[in-house]
Amino acid sequence: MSPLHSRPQHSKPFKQRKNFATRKQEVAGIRSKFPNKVPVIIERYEGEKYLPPLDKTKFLVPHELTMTQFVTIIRNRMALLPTQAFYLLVNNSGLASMALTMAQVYRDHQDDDGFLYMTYASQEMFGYHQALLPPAIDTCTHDCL
Amino acid sequence: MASEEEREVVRVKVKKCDGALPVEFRSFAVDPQITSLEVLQHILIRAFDLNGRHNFGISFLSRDRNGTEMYLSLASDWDLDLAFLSAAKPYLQLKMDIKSSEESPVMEDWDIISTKDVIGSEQHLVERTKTLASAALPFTQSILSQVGRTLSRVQQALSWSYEEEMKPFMPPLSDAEFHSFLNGQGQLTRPEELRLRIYHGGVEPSLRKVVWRYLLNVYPNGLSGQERMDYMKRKTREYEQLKREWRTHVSLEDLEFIRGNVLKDVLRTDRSHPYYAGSEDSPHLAALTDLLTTFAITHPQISYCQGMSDIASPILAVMDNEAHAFICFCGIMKRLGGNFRPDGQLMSLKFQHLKLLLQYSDPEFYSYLVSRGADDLFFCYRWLLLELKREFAFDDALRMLEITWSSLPPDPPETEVELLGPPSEVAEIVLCRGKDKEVEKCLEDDNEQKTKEHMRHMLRPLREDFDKSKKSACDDAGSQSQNSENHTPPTPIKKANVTNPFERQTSFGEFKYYTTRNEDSLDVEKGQQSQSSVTSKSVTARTSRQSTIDSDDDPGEKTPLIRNCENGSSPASSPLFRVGLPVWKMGPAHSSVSSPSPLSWPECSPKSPAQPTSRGSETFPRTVPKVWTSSAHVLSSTGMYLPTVPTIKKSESLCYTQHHSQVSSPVSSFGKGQSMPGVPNASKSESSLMKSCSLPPPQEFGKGNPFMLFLCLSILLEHRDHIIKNCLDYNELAMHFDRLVRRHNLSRVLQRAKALFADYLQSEIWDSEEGDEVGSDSPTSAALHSASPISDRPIHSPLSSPPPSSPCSTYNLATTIPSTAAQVCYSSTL
Repeated sequence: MSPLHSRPQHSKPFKQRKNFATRKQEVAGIRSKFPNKVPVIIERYEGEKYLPPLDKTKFLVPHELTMTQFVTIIRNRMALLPTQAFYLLVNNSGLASMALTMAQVYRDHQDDDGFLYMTYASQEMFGYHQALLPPAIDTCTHDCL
Repeated sequence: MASEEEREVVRVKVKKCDGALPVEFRSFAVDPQITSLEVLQHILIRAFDLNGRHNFGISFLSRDRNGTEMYLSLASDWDLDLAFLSAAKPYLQLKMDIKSSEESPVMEDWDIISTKDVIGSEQHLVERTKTLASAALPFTQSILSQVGRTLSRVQQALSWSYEEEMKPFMPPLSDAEFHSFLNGQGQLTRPEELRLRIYHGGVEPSLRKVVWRYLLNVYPNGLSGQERMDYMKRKTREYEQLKREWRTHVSLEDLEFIRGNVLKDVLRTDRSHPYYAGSEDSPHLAALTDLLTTFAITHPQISYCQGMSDIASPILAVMDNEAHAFICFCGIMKRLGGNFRPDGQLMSLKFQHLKLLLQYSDPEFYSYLVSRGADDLFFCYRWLLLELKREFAFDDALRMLEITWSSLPPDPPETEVELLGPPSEVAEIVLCRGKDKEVEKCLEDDNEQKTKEHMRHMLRPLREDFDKSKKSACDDAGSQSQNSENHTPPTPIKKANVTNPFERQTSFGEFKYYTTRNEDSLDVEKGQQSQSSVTSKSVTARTSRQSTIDSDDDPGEKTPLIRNCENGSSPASSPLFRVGLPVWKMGPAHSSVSSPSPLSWPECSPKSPAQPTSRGSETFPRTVPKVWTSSAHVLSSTGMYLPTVPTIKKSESLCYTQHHSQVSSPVSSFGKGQSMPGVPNASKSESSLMKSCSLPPPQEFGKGNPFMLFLCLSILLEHRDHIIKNCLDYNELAMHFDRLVRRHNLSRVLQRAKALFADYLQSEIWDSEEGDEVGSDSPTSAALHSASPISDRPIHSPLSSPPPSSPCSTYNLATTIPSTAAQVCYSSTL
């Protein structure tokens, strides 16, 4: 679990590992079991160098959780230090308001297959497949070593 | 094989392949004698730090005659043996293939977040320090993991000393030590010793999943590692089958009814524990509900009762697998099911025994309770029903439960655990309720059959009950239907069919009703049920009459145990009552009996040495008490270990030889000397014991769980002074103990209970001649000998060196106990 000891589980992103039908089926299955929870896929930004990978990709998140709370939980899962920057991008499109609940985010941003896709990175970035912006000064503090 | 014996240590090199990840290597050494596949997997998980990702395949590199190398899959203990034999030179090369989580069942790859996680910030702190520690030491993985292990050991030591502030008995059973109880095939060779070891220290939490299955009598004797896995797989399938078939057993309406009842309780069972915390749709709660529902449907005679969720919840939390938990639950319900039966007979017996025990060990407190009208001890109802599970905080309860279970002799199923209860004949329940006598009568016929059965199962009041009803159901189907026709028109019975199984003893009031009802009827019918609540004088009178009848009826080989189960009380002890002997004297007494120490229980004075000989051996089935004897003896003689290692060593070896030379008195005084100093209070109260009544023998006492009674007793004694000082009345008493739910101090209660229990067992001089007789075919002698190796180990390092083999041992300790416990040394080859 330490950042040193990183082991990304999958080389390919979730969407490429499973086809649309499988994903859709999976969402249907899990939604019927957990009607009060949102199925979320969280993946590491492919160019990410500092943040550790997560143990799991698929998350079930209660509707009423706010984005702030959710981010805190994910940060805890990765055991990040308070000084480490962490951004969660929704649907590869940008940052969601931290005050929204998961249900709201899900309503607005869910994918056609029913999952809500999120990507995390240590630096804010805009859009997918875009080169990293030069780091802002205050986010450089993430050098944990 | 000779070559294998030469090689005490096999060096292992492992290559881990995990998808696209760089290949990692580790090397370590294992002892081939004791390393099973399970151990190996465990080692690998730890070596590569695979938290929670246990899905991998192992293969080993083998060379055939031509020298071609190839990887063969290593999937069983047999493969592992082969690998050790054929491919261990100069070292064994293993390859691990981590399977991606997609291949695993649906739920495993989901991270389910609950609202509770939001408050997980303190956990964050811990995590952070860990990260810091690892960040500060950026060396190789192996050093990291070593640091990790040292840290966790330190933490363990800290938490341990906090938990057991009084004095640690022994550290909990560790993985490595546990494997020393298994042989090369992974068979558990010394079940009694394992239990004894657990009795003294409990089990490490991570190991509970495995060890509890033994304690709950899930595995039949002698299964190897592979067989155990197959067995569990098979039972799991069986369970899933049962679960699918709910509807074929009951109507939809009944199913809804049961499920509703179960759910109501599940939603308030241990919800503060992380495992059951969070929202109500957590899969753990669903698993608990399904488990209990399945049990209720498959065991229509017991169905579901409040409190069962409390028994199932720790098991599920430990097993973390619904099917496995169900299997274990069936294992424990074999013994406890009677608690939940609507007639409440078993419970009222347990009450009587507890009362007897309290009366015996603290007459002053008892008479106080009598004066307050609280001597029915009904405020202990929950204690007895749930075996104290709810009296301690969850984690303490786990420790308490495993220690209690380990105090019972092993009772493995002959072939397998029955997942399906006896068929419900509701009419028969009606019959049992309405016409005890009838059932009783039909049962007489089966007595002999059951006697045989009982020679095998020593402590199975419940099985007895089941058998009873099953047999009466089958054998007397004719008379039954006749009866029901005679007494009631068929239609009402049908109606009863629908409603009756759910008219469970759901409340205390109802229980009380049943109790009184039972006592009344039984009093009239047999004059035995309530005997112990009567004063001892009348007991003597009445039982002497009873015992004469008994001995007339039973020409000696008829087992009194059987009668006990039927009659509810213990005529087993009645002949002994009559001659005024220690009640738990079981076989011929030794003439060299004892010099009882001043602290001993009054009954063990050598008043009546040889008298019970004929009586005792006649009354008890020959094999039944023996097993108890052995384990009980060991429990008592090794009853108390003080943390001071040298003293123990000395006295223990003393004790050891004495066992052998059959001198019993110093042994008991040893036990006393050791047991008492920690508990001055207890010793005080014991020394002022009343002599007028005596206690049933261990296989009777507490109806299958004597130690639990001693736990209850020690809880009562803990609060005795407070109660007497404040003159608590009946209601205040009940409220006092209600406030203490989940709050009792486990270490103090345990310590006192163990001391009291050891004294109780010791006040009997267990017969060693009989022990020798069985020695050849039972593990008795092994259990006796075990006392020394176990306790010789320095308390804080169960991993330590080979136990010194004793000169007077008839057992080859060297072969039963592996010379090195699974010592694994990681070395970095990164």
